[in-house]
Amino acid sequence: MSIDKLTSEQLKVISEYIESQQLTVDSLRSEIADHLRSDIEERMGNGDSFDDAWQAVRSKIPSDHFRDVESETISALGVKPALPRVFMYVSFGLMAFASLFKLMHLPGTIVLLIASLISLGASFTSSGFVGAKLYSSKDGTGRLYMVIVAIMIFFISYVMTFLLLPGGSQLKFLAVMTMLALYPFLVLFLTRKLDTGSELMVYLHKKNSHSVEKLLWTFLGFALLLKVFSVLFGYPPAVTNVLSVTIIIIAGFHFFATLCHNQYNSDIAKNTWLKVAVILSFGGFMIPGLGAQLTLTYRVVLSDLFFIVAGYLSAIRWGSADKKWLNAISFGSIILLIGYWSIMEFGWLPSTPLPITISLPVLLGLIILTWLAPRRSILKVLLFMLMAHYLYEYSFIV
Amino acid sequence: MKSKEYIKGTLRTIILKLLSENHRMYGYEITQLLAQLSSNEIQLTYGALYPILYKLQSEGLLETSNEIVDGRARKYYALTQDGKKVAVEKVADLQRFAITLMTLLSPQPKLESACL
Repeated sequence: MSIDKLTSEQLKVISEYIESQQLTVDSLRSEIADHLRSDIEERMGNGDSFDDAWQAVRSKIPSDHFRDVESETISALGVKPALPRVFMYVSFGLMAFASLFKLMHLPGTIVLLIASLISLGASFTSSGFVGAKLYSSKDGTGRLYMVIVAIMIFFISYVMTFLLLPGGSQLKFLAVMTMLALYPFLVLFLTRKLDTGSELMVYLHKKNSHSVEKLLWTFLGFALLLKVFSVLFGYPPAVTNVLSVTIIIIAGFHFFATLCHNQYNSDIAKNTWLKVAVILSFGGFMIPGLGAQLTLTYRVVLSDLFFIVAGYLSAIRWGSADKKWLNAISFGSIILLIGYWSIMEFGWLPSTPLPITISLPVLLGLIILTWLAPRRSILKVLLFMLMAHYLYEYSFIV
Repeated sequence: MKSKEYIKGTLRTIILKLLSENHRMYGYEITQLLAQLSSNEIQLTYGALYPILYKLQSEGLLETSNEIVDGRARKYYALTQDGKKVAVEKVADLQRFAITLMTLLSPQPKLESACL
């Protein structure tokens, strides 16, 4: 059937077109590539030039056609990529009800919040399983499951702490230690791979990273709402704390996962100091997750360590355009956290009502900064983390 | 593709029929053979073909094998044992239905005394 073989330049044109379609199911992508090439070769065999054949083939394909083909194909495969999203919406819904119940002093807030966290956990877990099934040709299913298990233990430990069940603190300690052990292993492993495109975890993160911001805004919205009401009416800030920790975890993992993407990966591989910096900043991010098991001073020092190194890493990774902003955020975060630590430790301010008049404008400033930060930038992610830290730590002086 | 709505309901059976007469086929080959057999009346789009192939595969009616051809991966589809049985049944069903359709669509003698 096929007569003329395509040149490397012509193959590049087809390959770039296929890439531009952003198909995520590997087997379908290679089938469509074969289909396109067969069609072009057939036409060229009948006397068409490559340009004419390519034009004719392209003209038969409506825009977004391959995306539709892929979604229909995924449905046909019998896997439900919508399942993680359904769990996520259920989680949001339950959180909204929990907030409403809290504001109306109705019983059942804790049950709703726990159900919301369980649904959130189900969303992450199902997302991992669906991804592993859909992209079975990728490497690292075991590594992905290890990370999911570690995150799930962390969530469970928070639920147990929330319910005042025995063992919650120990489980949280175990989860933090597991992640502290797991992350250096992942960094060392991934930086040895020349092409992390074949790594399932990296691939799934890239594919879903655009929805992380929406998720963070949603959680932040609930956290802020409840925080404002808890400050105004003196509610215990427990619900806000859980939401703040959730934001810190999601944004933090997003930050570290982004660091492992292809381009930066090779820089880390070549530079031992960068490896150490990445691992150290992960400790600064993860250890404060122990919460009340650490004193405020330790939490502030470790969080500052994270922001210093994260700002440095981000400035190298994302180039000069955001550099000054990233440095500003890095130092701003340190000043803010140290400032609050000082207020707490030295009792510079009475607990009420001054903190509201100071803290609410600061919160407002942070919200505006986060809103203004470029979409899908690491700057925005760091601002989310800073705001969540601020919400969490500030709860101690209400 | 002409008469999309008619093709849609019968495409599964048509693909099963083609595969029952050919040991194994790949996607592009199916579209070409179908166009040839239908005198270009049926020209499958990607969206019509691949979801059905994947569906048939997930139902256990098709099995696949991969080969490297001219430096690229090519996926071949073939009927499984179940697929062969289902193909025979479905083709027979569709033939009966086609005959019924032909009868229905052929000009009918007008009834003199219609119910009023």
